[in-house]
Amino acid sequence: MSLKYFDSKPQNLIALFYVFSLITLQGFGGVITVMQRTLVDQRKWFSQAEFLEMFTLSQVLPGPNVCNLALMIGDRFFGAKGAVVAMMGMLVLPLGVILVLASSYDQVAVGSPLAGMIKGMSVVAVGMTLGTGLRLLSGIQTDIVGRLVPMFVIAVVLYAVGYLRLSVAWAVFGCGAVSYLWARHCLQSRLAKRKAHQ
Amino acid sequence: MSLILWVTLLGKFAFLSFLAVGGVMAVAPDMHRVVVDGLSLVSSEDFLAAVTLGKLSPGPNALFVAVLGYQIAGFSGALLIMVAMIVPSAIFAFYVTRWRQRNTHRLSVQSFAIGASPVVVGLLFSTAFILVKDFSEFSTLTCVVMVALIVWRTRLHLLLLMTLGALLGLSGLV
Repeated sequence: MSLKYFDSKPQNLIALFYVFSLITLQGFGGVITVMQRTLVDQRKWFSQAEFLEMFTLSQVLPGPNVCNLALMIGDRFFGAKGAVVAMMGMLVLPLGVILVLASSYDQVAVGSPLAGMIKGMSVVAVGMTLGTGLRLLSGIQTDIVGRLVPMFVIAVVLYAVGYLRLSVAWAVFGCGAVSYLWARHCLQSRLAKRKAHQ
Repeated sequence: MSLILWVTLLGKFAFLSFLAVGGVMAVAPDMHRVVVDGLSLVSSEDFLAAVTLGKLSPGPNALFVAVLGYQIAGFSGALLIMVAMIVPSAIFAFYVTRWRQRNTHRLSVQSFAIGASPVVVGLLFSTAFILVKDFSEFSTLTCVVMVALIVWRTRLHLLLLMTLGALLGLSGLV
């Protein structure tokens, strides 16, 4: 990917840290939305297409998605140093905030109004996780791999990890291998068809 | 807490960070298995509280592991568990990113990107399924389903949903 799309870029590491700190502190429940708005629409560090491509990779890599994305962006501008600084920007200030919250949470007595509030928010949090899963369903490239195999993979993962409580490693390596091989097969037959067409 | 227990805990979290494809929340079931069922370091309620605090506070949801660390051993626990969780996967991500940038044309790279997505979605469903088992009342389950539908189908601000949840909890409805 060339650098020609960059209309502007962070001047130095301090600016990089500052921008990612701002992004992360605005991100309640959805850092990625804030990141897209800030980096693409406002600061114009990337084109929409560039950002989307990096986001896809960050989703597939292990670890916190948005931190991986920050790492990639930092690396793009300032190499390894930038990767570290961007990630620190994502984590340092929110870590302070969450630890303050956690230490005051200790004093919450069972049955108190605050405990009720937190229970209510827990319920919403579970709903959000389920909703995010449903939303990501449309991200599966059914035009390439069809519907049947992805649905089967999802069902097996849910049964194994959610119901049987098997380890996540099992799901990632077992179901992931099946899903990978199927995607590879579909891409290959697509390529062969395209060649026959030409 | 003994040294052996620490090494076990941090080692398991470092290993889990490599499996956290689709975000750290995807391995929340496994973390639950380690700290609640396996090592009995925190209760199931505390675990859920940590997940909630992670969603409530700004920044990556992954920060909820810092709360787990805090519940286990205070501030030093929080820092240790964060480092164990984030550093190994970050180093891995760094090198994979650089490698991929030189190999986008490869079939294996494209297949992996497409093949990984159903597994990611399945893991998110599993996380919700495991946490929902802690709720038994009909009103609570209805609320979970409603929130899921809203997040799925609308762009309603997530803070608004959280506020509604807090109010419902305050009034004792869920």
